[in-house]
Amino acid sequence: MTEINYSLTGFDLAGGDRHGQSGRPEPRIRVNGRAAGALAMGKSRLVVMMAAFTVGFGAVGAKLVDATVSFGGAKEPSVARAAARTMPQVRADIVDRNGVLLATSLHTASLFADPKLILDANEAVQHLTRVLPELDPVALMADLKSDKRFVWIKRNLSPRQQQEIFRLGIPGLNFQREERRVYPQGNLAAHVVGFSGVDNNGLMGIEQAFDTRLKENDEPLRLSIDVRLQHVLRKELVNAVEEFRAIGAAGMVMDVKTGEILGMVSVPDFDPHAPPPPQEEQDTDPRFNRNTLGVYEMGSTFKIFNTAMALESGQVHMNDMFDATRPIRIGRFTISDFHPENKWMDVADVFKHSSNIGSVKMAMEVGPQAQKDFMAKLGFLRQANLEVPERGWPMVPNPWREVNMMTISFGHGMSVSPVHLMAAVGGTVNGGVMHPATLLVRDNVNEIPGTRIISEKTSDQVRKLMRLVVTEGTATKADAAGYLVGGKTGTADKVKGRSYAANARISSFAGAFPMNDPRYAIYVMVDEPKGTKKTFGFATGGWVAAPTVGNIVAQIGPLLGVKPQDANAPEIIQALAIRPPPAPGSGTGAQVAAIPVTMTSGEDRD
Amino acid sequence: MIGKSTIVWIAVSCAASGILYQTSYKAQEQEQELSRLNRAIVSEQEAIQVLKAEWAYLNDPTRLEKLSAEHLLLQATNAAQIANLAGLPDKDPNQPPPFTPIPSRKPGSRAPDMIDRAPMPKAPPVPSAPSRRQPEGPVILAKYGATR
Repeated sequence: MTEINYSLTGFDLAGGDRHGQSGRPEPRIRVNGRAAGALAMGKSRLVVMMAAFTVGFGAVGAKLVDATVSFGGAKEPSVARAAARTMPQVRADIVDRNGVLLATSLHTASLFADPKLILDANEAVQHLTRVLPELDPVALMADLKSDKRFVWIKRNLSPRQQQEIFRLGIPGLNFQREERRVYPQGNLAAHVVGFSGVDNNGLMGIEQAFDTRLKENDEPLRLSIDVRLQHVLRKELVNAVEEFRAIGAAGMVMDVKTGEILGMVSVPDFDPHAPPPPQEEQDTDPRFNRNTLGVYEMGSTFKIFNTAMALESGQVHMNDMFDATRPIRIGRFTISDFHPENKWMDVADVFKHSSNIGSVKMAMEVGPQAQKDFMAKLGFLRQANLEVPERGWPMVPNPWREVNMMTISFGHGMSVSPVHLMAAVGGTVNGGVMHPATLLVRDNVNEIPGTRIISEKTSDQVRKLMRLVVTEGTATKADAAGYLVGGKTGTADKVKGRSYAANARISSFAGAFPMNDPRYAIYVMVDEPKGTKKTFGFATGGWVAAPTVGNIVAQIGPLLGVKPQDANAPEIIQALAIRPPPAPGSGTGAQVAAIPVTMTSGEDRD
Repeated sequence: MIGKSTIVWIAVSCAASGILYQTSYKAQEQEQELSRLNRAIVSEQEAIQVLKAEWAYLNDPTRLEKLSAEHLLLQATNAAQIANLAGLPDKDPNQPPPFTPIPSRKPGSRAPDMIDRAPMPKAPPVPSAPSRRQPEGPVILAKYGATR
């Protein structure tokens, strides 16, 4: 073993050769002395170099194979970029039943700053307030001098503003891409669609109810409402509010065969881009949806259900006469008629003249329990079935005594929301099957949920009665030529505090058209109308809501594709006449609904 | 000493590395192109979204109604303007066929803008309500908004 350091690397790689030196044959040329040592060293260095190069090139080769043949990490970014071909959407669109945009999300830039990187806060504030004059310089200065690493300066800039801020070239400012919710129809469907906040969370209406769905599914959400109907409803309601100096109004149109709500308007309304803060007083709050959240004593429109219930029970027949000559006294109350006829009346007269006394007598034939069961069947004892979160709880009497039964028979002493009433009217006129109201378009027309509330025969009788009210009763102004409107007016004094207000009332009309085969139900209510010269000082349902309904039906009839019919055609007269007297009621007896009822602590006023 | 095969191998490896270089640059370029196109697609989609919103905004029925009242003579459809086939009178076999001008088909007869004056009614016009008691009223062309 020699003492010479053979290795450049410190490892004696050539050492293996030297172990077997004894068995090696004698080389032909022998180099002695120093030359021999140098030769051996050169040889071993060569081996080391070869090894190093082999390893190095091997690694490069392996990497090459990896990168080209077996696709390593290089593939990933291109896949990610290819996937980014569709626009990232934070919230799906909301469209009406015809695909008209009601709400969509647009990309905008939001400006934020990192105060640590701002060199000269004074100068930055100066420039920024020049481009964005609405900024508060003092607050902005405080923000920019703070110790935070992130402060919002302005959300949702317009592209022009963004360009101008780019041009300022202030270090430390940056843009965050954001989505902004836009409602192209503005006020038109504000209560239905609702709105969402700056962080894209739904805060009202469909936006709130379907918040998760809108975030998770990019497919547009199709509602049942029709923008054109919304417009007609809103226009006529605003007219009515102006004409009768009312504080508000509400209206709805529903497809009675499916339960889809085609139009739902509550005025006053608001701009969903700048929703007003909620107010204490709900009557004047633009955000208050009278159709769903408001619960009201409906007044005479309840007689539709009272009559249907009485006829359905078999205890009352169309030809039965009721003594309406004297007011009814019960306890300290007196029930009298608004338009006293002071005579014996049959069912048609009671309905046509909207006789409270007659209605009470009809309800007395049926009794409180059956009435309560019927109301439960109509869904009047629980929250309405609708997608929006703003739904009012009905106010029902507890216990349901005889006096309650009497007042409820003509629509007092019990409060429901207009959407409750609407669904029940639809079920009453369409042949007796009530479909729950919905704001979403029903895709599968074969699977519409529904419960039978009355028999087809009773439904037919009620339809005739409702048509009678329009042809010769209190709602003659609701008729629209060709569309055979039928319905019932209602005028109810409003409950303010613990008693009825003297001059504040709800005037309403609930009806359907065309009455020989109803397809659409319509409801209009005007909140606290005042009589005008034109109406001889009256502000009742017949003078306020009925003409509004007439105007609306005349305009939406052609839009809905309802075929106009001649009201004087013999087959129409035959279909809608009360006389010749129809056969007595079906006599199936009052059916008791097995709906689980959650009672609220109701108004027990009378 | 350098053998023939070595020269061949060196040449092959030079060619291979050259091709590899080319391919790799080309792939890079194409990737850039792809991402550029994807960005363009996304920005087009955003533009489409903006245009959709604008379209919906401009088609707001309230606005359309205002514009229609300003610039058109059209009014809301009246139920009386809608008739069905069964409501039309039967054709009288003794009556000569009415003159029906076909625009741009009969040379020298009438200008196409005269069309609404062509079939003049001889009998009194139908009352506005479609009534079954008026079987022999002729059909007239409706002139929308004429009353205004």
